[in-house]
Amino acid sequence: MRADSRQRSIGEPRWARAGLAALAVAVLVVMLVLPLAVVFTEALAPGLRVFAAALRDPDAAAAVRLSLLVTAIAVPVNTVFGLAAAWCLTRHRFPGRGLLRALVGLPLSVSPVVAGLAYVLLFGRQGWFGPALAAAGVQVVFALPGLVLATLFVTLPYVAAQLIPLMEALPPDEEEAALTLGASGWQMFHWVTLPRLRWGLLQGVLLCTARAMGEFGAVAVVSGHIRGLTTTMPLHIEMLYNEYDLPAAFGMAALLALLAVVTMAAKGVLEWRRNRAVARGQASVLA
Amino acid sequence: MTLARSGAMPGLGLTLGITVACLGGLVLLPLAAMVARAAGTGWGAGLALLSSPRTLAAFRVSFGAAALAALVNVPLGVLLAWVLTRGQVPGRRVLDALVDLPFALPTAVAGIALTTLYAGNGWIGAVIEPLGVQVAYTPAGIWVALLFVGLPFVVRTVQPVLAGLDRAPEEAAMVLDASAWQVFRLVILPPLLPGILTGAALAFARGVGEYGSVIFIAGNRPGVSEIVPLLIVTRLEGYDYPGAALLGAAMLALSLAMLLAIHALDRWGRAR
Amino acid sequence: MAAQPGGGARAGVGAGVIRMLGLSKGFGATRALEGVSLDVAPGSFVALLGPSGSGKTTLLRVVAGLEGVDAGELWIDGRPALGLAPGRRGVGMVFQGYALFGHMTVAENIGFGLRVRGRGRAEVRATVERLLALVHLDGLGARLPSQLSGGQRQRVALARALAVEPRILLLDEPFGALDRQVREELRAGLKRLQQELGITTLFVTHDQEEALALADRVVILDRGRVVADLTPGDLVDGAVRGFAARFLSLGEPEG
Repeated sequence: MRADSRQRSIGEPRWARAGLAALAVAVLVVMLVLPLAVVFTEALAPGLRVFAAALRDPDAAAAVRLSLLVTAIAVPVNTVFGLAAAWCLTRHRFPGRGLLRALVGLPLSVSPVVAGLAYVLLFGRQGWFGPALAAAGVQVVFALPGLVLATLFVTLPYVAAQLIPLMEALPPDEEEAALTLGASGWQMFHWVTLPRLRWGLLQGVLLCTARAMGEFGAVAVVSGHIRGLTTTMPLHIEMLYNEYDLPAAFGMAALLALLAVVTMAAKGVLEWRRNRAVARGQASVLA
Repeated sequence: MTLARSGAMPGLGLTLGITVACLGGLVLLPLAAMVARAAGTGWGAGLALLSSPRTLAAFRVSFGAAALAALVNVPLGVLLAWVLTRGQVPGRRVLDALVDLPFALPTAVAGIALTTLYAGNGWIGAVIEPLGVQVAYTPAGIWVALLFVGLPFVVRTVQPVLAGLDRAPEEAAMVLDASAWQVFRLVILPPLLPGILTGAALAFARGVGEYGSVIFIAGNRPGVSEIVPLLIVTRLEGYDYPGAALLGAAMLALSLAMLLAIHALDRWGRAR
Repeated sequence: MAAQPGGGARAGVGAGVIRMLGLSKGFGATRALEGVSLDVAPGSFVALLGPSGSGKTTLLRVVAGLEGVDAGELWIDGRPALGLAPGRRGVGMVFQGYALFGHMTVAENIGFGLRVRGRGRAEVRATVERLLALVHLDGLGARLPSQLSGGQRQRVALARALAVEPRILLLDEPFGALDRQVREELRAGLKRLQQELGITTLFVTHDQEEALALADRVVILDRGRVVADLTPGDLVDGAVRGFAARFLSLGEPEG
C-alpha cells in the first residue's frame, strides 16, 4: 500500500494532497450530498405518519402505478433494441454502419422537451397522424401510448450504450467456435453470447429503468397533466410542488431518490462483480 | 448465399431490421414531423419568430448558463477525477459511485431539491443570501442546476484517460526536478485535454436542453431567466405549433452540431 | 473409403477430402488470398506455413466457413462447401487462443457440440469421458478454463473439436503461447492422435520446425499465394532450403 501511494504521487507535499482530497469531498458534499439529503429531510420532517399518508393518496398511488407500467413496457423494448443494435454494429460490417451507430446515440443529445414536442407534432390533433388517429378514435398524446413512446425515445440508447463497447472489447472467438461446433445462431447467442454479456446487460437495464422512472421533460409535454390518469411520478411531484404541498411532493421525490440510490449502489456492486469475475478469469476477458 | 460469402456471423437481417425499425419509427419519424412542421412556416415567418426578442433572450439564457456551467465543471471535474484516481481518500468507492447521482436522479427531484436548498430559508440559501447572493429564482439558479446536471460528464470522460496514463513521463519529470504543479501542468494535463473538451461539450449539450432540473429554481421570467425548453412548452400550451416546431428544429440542429463536434473531439482524442 | 494412414476408427464416416480452386479474397485494399488452389488427400496432415499476413489463417477460416471468398470454389468430400454454414461442413477447429467458453466447465465445453445437436445427456457424458481420457485430462471435467494451465486448455480445445467427430481438423497456431517443453509434448500428442484417428488435418503455423516435425506435407504461403508445396524430406534437403528461407525470411524457429 505504501509503495502504491508513492507511485500515485507526483511529488506534491502532503498538505497539498490532503487539501485536494478535502476540497474534492467538500465539492461532492455541497453539490451532490446536500441536495440528496434535502429530499429525505423534507419528506420525513413532518413526521412518518404524514409521509405514509401522502403515499396512500389515490392519485399518488395512480402515479406510481403509471410510472411502473410505462417503465415495464419501455425497458424490455429498449433491451431488445440494445441487444440487436450491439449485435449488428459489432459483429457485422455493412455500408452505413458508422452512421447507424451515431444515430443510436442521437436521443442522448436531444432535449427531452424536443422529444415530447416531436411526438405531439406526430400524433397530436394537428399532427401528421392526428386526423387519422382521431377518425379511428385512438388517443396517443395525452394518454398512455404517448407516455410510453416519449419514454422510449429518451431511454432508447441506454442499454445499447452499455453493450456496444462491451461487445467491441470481446473478440468473436468463442462465438465462432460455437458455430464450428454446429450451433445455430440462436444457440450460439443463448449459450455463448448472452452469458458473456451478463453484467453489462444488467447495468444497462438498471440505468434504463432508473431513467424511465424519472423521465420528466418529454413526458411533461406529451401527458397533458391529467391528474390521476396521465401523471407519472415526476409529473405528480411537479403538480404537488406547484400547489405548495411540499411534504407530499418530497414524499414522492424521496421514493424516486431512493430508487436512484439503489440504482447507483447496484451498479457499483455489478461493477465490482464484473471486475472480480475478470480477475478470476471466469468471464472470458472482459464480460 | 451472399451471407456465406461475406462472413459467417448469423443474425444480420434480424438485428439490423430491429435496429432500423426502432430508430426509424421511434426517433426519426417524430423528429421528421417536427422538422416538416417547422419548414412549413416558410423562411420569412420562421426567421421572424426565431429572432423575436423573447426567443433571442431565451437562447442567450440557455446557452450562457450551459456554457458557464460547463466551464466551471472543467476544473471541478478534473479535481474530482484526480482525487478519485490518484488520491488516498477513505471511502473512495462510495464517492466514486456518488458522482453518478445527477445521472441517476430524476430531473424533477433534483429541481425541487436544489430550489429548496438555495431558497432564502434553505440550508445554503440561508447562508449566502445575507451575503447578498441570491440564487433561487434568478439566472444564477439556472447555472447552479446545470452545474449539478453536468458534473458527471467531465469526471467520467477524464477518469479513464487519467487512469490509463503512462507514469514514466511523470517520473522522468520528477527526476528532472519539476515541482508537482509543473508535472501536472506540463506532463499530465496535455493528454487529458481531449477528454476534458469532450466532457465539457457533453455537459454543455446536456445543459442547453435541460428542463426538469431548471424550471423550479429559475425565475422563469421571459427575457431574464426563461430557458428555451420552457419557451417551447409555453408555445405549445398556447397552441402555437409552428412557433414551438421552429424552436424545436433549431434545438435539434444545435444537437446535431454538438454531436458532430463531440464525435470529432472524440476522434481527435483517440488519435493522439 | 480409401485406405488411410493409421486407419481404423474413422472408416465409413467420410474421407475428409478437400479441394480448393482459385480461392481469392480481399479485405478492402489488401488481397488476403490470390488464386489459391490445393487438393488435400484424406487422412493427410498438411501444414500451412508462412509469415504473418501470408493469408494462411484466412485460408483456414475460409475452409471452416468463418470467412467468405470473392472468387473460387471449395469442395469438401465432393460437395460444394462455400454455401454451407460452419457447423455443417464436418470440420472441427482449434482457435489460436483456444476460444474456450470461459463460463462453462471443461466437460460442458467438450460436450457443447453434442448438446447443440440435441444428443441425450447420457451419450454426451459418455463421449466427454472418452475424450477426456483421449487427451489425458481425466478427472478435470468439473474445472473451469481459468483453472487450467495453457497446455491443458489447448487439449480441452482439441477434445471439444473432436467431440463432434469431424472429418477435417483445422488448427490455427495451436501451440503459440506455450513454453517449449509443453509445446513439444503437445506436438507429439497431436501427431499420435492424428495418426490414430486418421483425420485430415490442416495446421497453420509460422514455425518452420513445427511444420517439419508434424506434417506429411508443407504448403508455403506468401502474400496470399501458394509459393511452395513440399514434403518435409524436400525441406531438409539442402537444395530447397534457400528457396524456402528466402520466402519465409524466418530467423529462429522460435516464432
